[in-house]
Amino acid sequence: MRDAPLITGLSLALLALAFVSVSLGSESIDLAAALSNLARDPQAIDAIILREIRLPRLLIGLLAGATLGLAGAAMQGLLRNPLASPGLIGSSSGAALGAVSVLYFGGQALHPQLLPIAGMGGALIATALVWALAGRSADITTLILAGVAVNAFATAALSLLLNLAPSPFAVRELVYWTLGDLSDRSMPDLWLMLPCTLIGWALLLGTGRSLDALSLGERTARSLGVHVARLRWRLFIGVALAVGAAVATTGMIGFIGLVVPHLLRPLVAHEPGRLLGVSALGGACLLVGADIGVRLIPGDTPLKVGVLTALVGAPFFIALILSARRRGTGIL
Amino acid sequence: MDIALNSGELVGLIGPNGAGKSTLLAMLAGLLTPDSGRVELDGQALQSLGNDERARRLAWLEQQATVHWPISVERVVALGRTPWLQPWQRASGEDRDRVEAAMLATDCIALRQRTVATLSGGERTRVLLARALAGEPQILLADEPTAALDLAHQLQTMELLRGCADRGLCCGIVLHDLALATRYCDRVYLLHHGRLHSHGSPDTVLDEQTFAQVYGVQVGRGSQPVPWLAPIKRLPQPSLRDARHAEPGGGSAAR
Repeated sequence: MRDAPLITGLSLALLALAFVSVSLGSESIDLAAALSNLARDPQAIDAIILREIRLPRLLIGLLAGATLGLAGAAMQGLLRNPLASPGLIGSSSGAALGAVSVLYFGGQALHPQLLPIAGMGGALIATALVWALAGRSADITTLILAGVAVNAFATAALSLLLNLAPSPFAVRELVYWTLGDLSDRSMPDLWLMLPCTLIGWALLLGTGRSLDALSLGERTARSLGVHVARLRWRLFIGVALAVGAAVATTGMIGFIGLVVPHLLRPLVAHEPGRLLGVSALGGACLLVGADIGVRLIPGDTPLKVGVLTALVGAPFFIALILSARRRGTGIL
Repeated sequence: MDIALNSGELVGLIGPNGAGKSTLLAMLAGLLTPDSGRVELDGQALQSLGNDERARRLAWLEQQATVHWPISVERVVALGRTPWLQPWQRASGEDRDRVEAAMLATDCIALRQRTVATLSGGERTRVLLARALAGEPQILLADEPTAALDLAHQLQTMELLRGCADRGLCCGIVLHDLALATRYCDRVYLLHHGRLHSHGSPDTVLDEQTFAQVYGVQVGRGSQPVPWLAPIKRLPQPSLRDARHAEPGGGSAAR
């Protein structure tokens, strides 16, 4: 397999980051003892810390990061545009709106998992809306415009909730949630996001060959036997499910879906199909790494991981534009 | 309109701008569904074939095709194997052999590591032709393969297509250059205002009257050392635009 070295390298990096991630925390625990206690003595304090706090944080970060990387690569392949990002089709702002609504109306008190459930519901409703707006045989432009419209509406509704929030504390809570965070997540959160995530991944990962053909243009791809309309919907639904699940659980985490495919594309000879899997690994590395970063940065107010990825991502993006300008080529 | 393409033939679809050549070619390729009538492949309705089955038997070469990512020539040619591979299936030794043979036939071996964006127009046409041939189609449909090529590359492209036809491929191409059509095509179909004007060997179809009627020009022509022709002047006539106004929506007057 041509990408074996790259995949091995990324997997090893992810493993190392995962080890650092579960080692970090306010309590220092002996990892080997805690791991063995998970099975032997589940009520031991180190086993509880690992199971209830550190593993959910790691695994949710891993799943969400992989989703963002994968979905970004898939969207860029579908649109044949390196600036496309998973947020383009409305599901992430729909998820944010759903989750924030629960926060606003205090629904969290009813059930701890109501927030991610509402987030996923929001993502699905946003996707269904885009579907209804664009129609079954929509071309790419219509699909994007429908996504932009739904995005705009969800953002407006979010602003409305912030506007109407009863107190500054409520505003703070709502805004904080949208910033994107991996702390204080639990195993039930993980189980909840898992099905949609896995279905979304399965839909996305199988599209590699069609995305490769699509780099020759839509008509030529069709002449090569690719069912382009079906491919579009498959990617669309895959991105909606996986990204919806990720955003509903972690909040909005920007730039991973944009930056990771960009960084890795030259390493897979610019082939959209090969980019999918490695982008998933790269996204997981980046988010788990960023989550380590926010815990290492000292300060009274803990930094949200979405803030860090945006802070690092935006300058990276500027550097990308500048280097493209220097080379005299397009942003490719 | 009744059109048939046979194996071992190089058939040209010719006609003035807007005559419907590319649309017809896309219909023949199964990329557009005709409002009425049907397209058959070996007696079977094209629409009834599955996407993969159709793609294995029929290759279509887009006019001025682009490659959206800086992918290597070798990989672009290998995309021609797409209809033969399942989503997760890896390319086999046979697939690689076909890709190699297609690159050999089109003289692309030396370009294999380059990206398409760095190629000249002639090289790009050869690479995309190799992509089409890599799928081992029975039928090759090409939309203006010589457009935007310089003279030498026009001849090279036509020679390649002629060679494909001589090896038994069924080739249908949209052509603007009537001299090339006269020289290389076995038969031509002349389209005018979305209808079939006439068809047959290039010499019989492209007579003086046709040039005057369809193209509105007087041409000079000769047969030595190869068939050639050149437009001399536009003819004063009820203009093409008037003719089109006379039949709104492609009426029935033109045949």
